[in-house]
Amino acid sequence: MTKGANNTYFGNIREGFSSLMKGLFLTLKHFVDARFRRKPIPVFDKDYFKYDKGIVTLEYPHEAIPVPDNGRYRLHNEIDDCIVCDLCAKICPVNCIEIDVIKSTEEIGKTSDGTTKRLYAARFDIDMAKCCYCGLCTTVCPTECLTMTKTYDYSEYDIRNMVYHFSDLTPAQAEEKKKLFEEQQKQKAKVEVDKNKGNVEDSALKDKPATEGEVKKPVFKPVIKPVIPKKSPDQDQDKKE
Amino acid sequence: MLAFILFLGLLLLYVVIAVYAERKVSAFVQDRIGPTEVGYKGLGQTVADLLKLIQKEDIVPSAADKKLFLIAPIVIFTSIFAGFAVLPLSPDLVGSKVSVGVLYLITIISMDVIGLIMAGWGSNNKFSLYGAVRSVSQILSYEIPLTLSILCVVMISQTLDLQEISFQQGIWANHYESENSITNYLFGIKYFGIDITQAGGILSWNIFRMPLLFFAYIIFFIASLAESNRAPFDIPEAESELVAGYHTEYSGFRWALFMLAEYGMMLLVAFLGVILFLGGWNTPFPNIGEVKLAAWTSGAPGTIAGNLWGAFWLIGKTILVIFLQMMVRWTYPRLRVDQLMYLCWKVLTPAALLLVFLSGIWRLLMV
Amino acid sequence: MSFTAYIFYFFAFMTIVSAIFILTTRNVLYAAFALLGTFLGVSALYVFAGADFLAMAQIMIYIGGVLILILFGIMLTNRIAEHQYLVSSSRNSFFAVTGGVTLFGVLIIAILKANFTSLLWIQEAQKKASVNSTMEKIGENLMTDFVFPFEVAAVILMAALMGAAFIASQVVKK
Repeated sequence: MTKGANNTYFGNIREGFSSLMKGLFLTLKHFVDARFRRKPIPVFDKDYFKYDKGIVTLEYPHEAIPVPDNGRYRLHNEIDDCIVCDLCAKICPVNCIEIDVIKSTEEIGKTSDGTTKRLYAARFDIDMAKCCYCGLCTTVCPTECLTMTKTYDYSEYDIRNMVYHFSDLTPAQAEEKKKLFEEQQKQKAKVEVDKNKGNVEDSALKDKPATEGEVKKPVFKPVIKPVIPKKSPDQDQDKKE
Repeated sequence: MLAFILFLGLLLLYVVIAVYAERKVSAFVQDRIGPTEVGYKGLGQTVADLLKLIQKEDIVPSAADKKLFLIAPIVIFTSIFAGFAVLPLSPDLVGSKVSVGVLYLITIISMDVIGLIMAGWGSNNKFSLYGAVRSVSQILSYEIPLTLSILCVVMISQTLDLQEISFQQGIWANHYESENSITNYLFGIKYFGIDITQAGGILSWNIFRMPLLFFAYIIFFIASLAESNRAPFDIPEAESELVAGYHTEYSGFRWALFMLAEYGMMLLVAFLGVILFLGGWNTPFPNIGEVKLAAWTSGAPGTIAGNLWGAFWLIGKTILVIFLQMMVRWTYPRLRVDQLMYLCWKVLTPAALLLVFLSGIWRLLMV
Repeated sequence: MSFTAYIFYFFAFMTIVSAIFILTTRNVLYAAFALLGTFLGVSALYVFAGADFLAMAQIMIYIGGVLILILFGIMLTNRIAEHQYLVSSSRNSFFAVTGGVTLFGVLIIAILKANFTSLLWIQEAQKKASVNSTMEKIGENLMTDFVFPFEVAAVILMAALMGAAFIASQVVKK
């Protein structure tokens, strides 16, 4: 029967009655079907689409649907493979990665894919509370040391615990490395000065080394071009005339 | 006195179980699990909730009319609990053997309207007042089809005594202390001459003694849902419109009293429906020749077995009715106010009036 | 005194106290709610008098109908929100007091002088062991001896109902 087919007094009652019964039987069917339960199986299980009735609730802390191995949740940085290139921090749209760099006096070692490491990371912090899980940092990472793991339940009582520290240097070690690098720079500067003795004083000032351990970052300035509305050719002609 | 304690205990136990059952039923209807954590399968959930409610602070809003606000839950609960006084739980167990039982029940539960107005007005809150006004108009309107459908039974049974109505619907029909003896005929029609007084069971229930009473029971059921403010007639406490209706401002123990009253009302109307239409404490199985199913599943009045069987059948049937109430609640959407009034005045009341007329005619066929 | 007597005095006390409260309170809404106590007490007293049907009718009509109507009337008309309670001023307290006291005295004297035990219907009622319900008698009488007044009352009420519905449904035309 189509709805509102018989829009008279008794027609309404009959339609109301039949639809009420239909609804009641529908809920009763669900109530009876509640003896079945959906199992917590992942989507790649062949039985995934077989459960079409019964309870669908997942009692989460007690049971969980397995996440695929390539799940993209919490970030992890394999610091041994990291060359501290800072690309991830630059691309991050929410600025959740913070890196402090110390230049090394010599080559530290090689990553597992053979890239030479020349920088120490005094600090490599990822604030997972800020992370938006876009995955851009993992895309730009040249050594693929920054990856997303399948861990997704890592809530904390204190939001400060959401900041993950990946650097393997203790503050004392970092200080030591910094000093070492400064020493080396001073030595180099001395050698330079000795070499160019008698030169103009100015040049020494100009070639002043970066003693503070600062890394000069290329500054990207977005240039906003003014939008010039296209003028019709006849208008231009008017002006010319 | 025994009945008082029994019914108070029964009501409290019922509320604890019914709240849990309601949550489980609603969960199963919606393909969920419901409470699972407190106790085995979440059985302790209601107890935990109650403990929390009792510990809560009894907040009285500073702008509320304090006296009315504090008295209202007590008035509501008292008037509904007073209704249990005349319910026959078994052949011998009834709080008060009054011959105007049905009338008493209808009148005393109409008193809770006063409590609702008290709560709505005393809260000094527009949602509460709206809820109270809606509730009063709804309860007063639905009292008419409710009373008319009860009147059908009263006309068939020729008595207002609930215990006597219960006795009439079973094999012990002539064991009650009334003067005239009763003969139950199949479908109540004497003309066919099929005497089923000794068969009893479902055949002598009121919905079978007078088959039209089945329709009266449907009217009674719908009206009783509206009387107890349950979905789909829960517009007095429509949470999407009125926060919580007349008990918006209540918290803690007083709120618990409101809940107790609401669930008590559910139980009361379910009991009443079972007693009036579905045979009360009588067994559903009839005696068939030598297979005395009715006699086996019930005991003679006055014996312990009779009382236990009676209480078992009455409570069993009531639970079924309450389950139906819950299913209805979780199936249907809430009615609009105009739909509510349409249903009451244009559908249920004329139908009930017609049934009253037909019951009168049927009664003539019964004697 | 038996337990029943205590209950009787409780209800009598409740009736009188709530009635006095109605007289003394300045809040008209409280007065209306106190009527609940009075009506309930009176209906309980009816039960003690053996008039069970009358008691139920009292609750049904006065509490279930009249009281709610009064409450709605107060809520819709009196501006209670601004605490402008309806306060009746006693303009002529002298005559009121004399009238009241005189009536009270006359009634007290009449009650004290009357010999209730000699009344025929009370003697009859006392002879009966148990109090029978008045239901059957009322029903039979309404359908036999008093069927005409009963039907007239029904017709009048019906007319009143229709009239009320007519007035309420009238659309105001400009």
